[in-house]
Amino acid sequence: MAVERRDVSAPAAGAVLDVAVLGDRALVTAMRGEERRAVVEFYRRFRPVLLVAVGRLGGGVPDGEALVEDVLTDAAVHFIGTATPLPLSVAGYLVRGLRNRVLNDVRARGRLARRVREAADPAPDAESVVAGCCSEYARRASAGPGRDAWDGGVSPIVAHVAAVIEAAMTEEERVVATWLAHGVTQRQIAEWLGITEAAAAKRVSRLRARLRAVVDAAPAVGASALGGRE
Amino acid sequence: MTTSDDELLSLASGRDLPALPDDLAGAAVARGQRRFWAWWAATCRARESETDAARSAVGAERFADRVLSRVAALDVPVRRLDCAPSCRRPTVDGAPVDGAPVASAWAAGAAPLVEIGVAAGVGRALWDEVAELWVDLPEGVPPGRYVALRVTGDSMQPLLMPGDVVLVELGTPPTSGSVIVARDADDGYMVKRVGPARAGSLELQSINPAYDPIRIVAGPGTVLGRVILRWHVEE
Repeated sequence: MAVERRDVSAPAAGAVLDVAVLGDRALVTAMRGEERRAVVEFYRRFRPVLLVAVGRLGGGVPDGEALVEDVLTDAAVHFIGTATPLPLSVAGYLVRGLRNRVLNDVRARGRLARRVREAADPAPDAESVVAGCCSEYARRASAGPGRDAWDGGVSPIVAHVAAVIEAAMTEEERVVATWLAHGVTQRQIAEWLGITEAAAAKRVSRLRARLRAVVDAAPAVGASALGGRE
Repeated sequence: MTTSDDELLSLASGRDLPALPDDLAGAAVARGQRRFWAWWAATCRARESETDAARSAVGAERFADRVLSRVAALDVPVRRLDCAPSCRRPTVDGAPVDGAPVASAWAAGAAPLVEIGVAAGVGRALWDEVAELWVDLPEGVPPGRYVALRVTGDSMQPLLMPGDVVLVELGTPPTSGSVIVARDADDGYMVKRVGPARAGSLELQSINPAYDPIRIVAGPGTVLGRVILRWHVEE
């Protein structure tokens, strides 16, 4: 199924470049030479993973395919047009970019919806609307970038559990949890982390137990809250 | 009813947490994460449905057009003026006239606006034209010999839209990557980007991927000058 691609640093001069055999980072390097075939291959190579990523982000992405186009285009233009260092993993970089775009969008829509609700209150005096905007601004200004509370789309309870999980888990645990959620097998985990399969199995079961303990200990969380996610 | 392990996993990996960075602290985990992404991207490709694959094949060409034209517009050194510079009627000995020879504008510190139609106007020379408007040189443009030309055609989209006006610095030699106005015996004046340098000839590229590059013989009178500014004129 998956052909392991080697990262070739530079194609031999004069040779016809077979873009399909280039590793991800070598492909992006070839794009920087404004090599059209590399750009075509970039699209065909990464569009599927982004389409799947849109699906995994759940509902609320109105036109996933158009969003994928935008993310791919912006990333390609960014890679070619600027001398930024290449990301360690191109697929990871793209999926993260897509995710951030969706989240910004969700937040913006949440804010808009709240304003509309406030403005449509039975007795909307101008002052309360202004106050609503001000407190919104104050909240956003104090929340800081990245650690912004979820706005719209996600219930506060889910956000709370997520924060508890994040605080309680190590980096490796979070990585392995992500892998498991993507259907990675224990054998792959063992191979990727350079440990035995038995050790991998142990880590997985410990991770599951820890997750459960963390969530059970979190106050005010019921199955309904989690089950109610979109 | 309890929350299943799968739900917990998806919560622990899902969109409700800040994304994991690429440069994880632990070297082994970071290496594993890179292999995970390569594997996951390949898995998604392998699972791509036939309809999606077909759409991908068609979309890829359009994608390449879009990306390459955006990149081309990125590094073209033509500054855009947000506000069109002021224009006035030509004057001869201080008296306004309806039209004046192209070269007479320079002494007045202006650039003649010539309606020659860049990319059109076969067989007409710039110097035969009469300018009905003088464009005051915008701030920051040193005194010199310039002409203002109105763009026709869409070959330089999205950098230049039909109807845009470009300010051309006369006599500046073409360098690779710059935008110039060239004159070809068959095609008249055209605004194009200069391709890779080649002795004896010039490759002229259009930014719009629908147009193929053309090659003209470099010689005296081939290149009118370099485009240094562009602005949009509201009709």
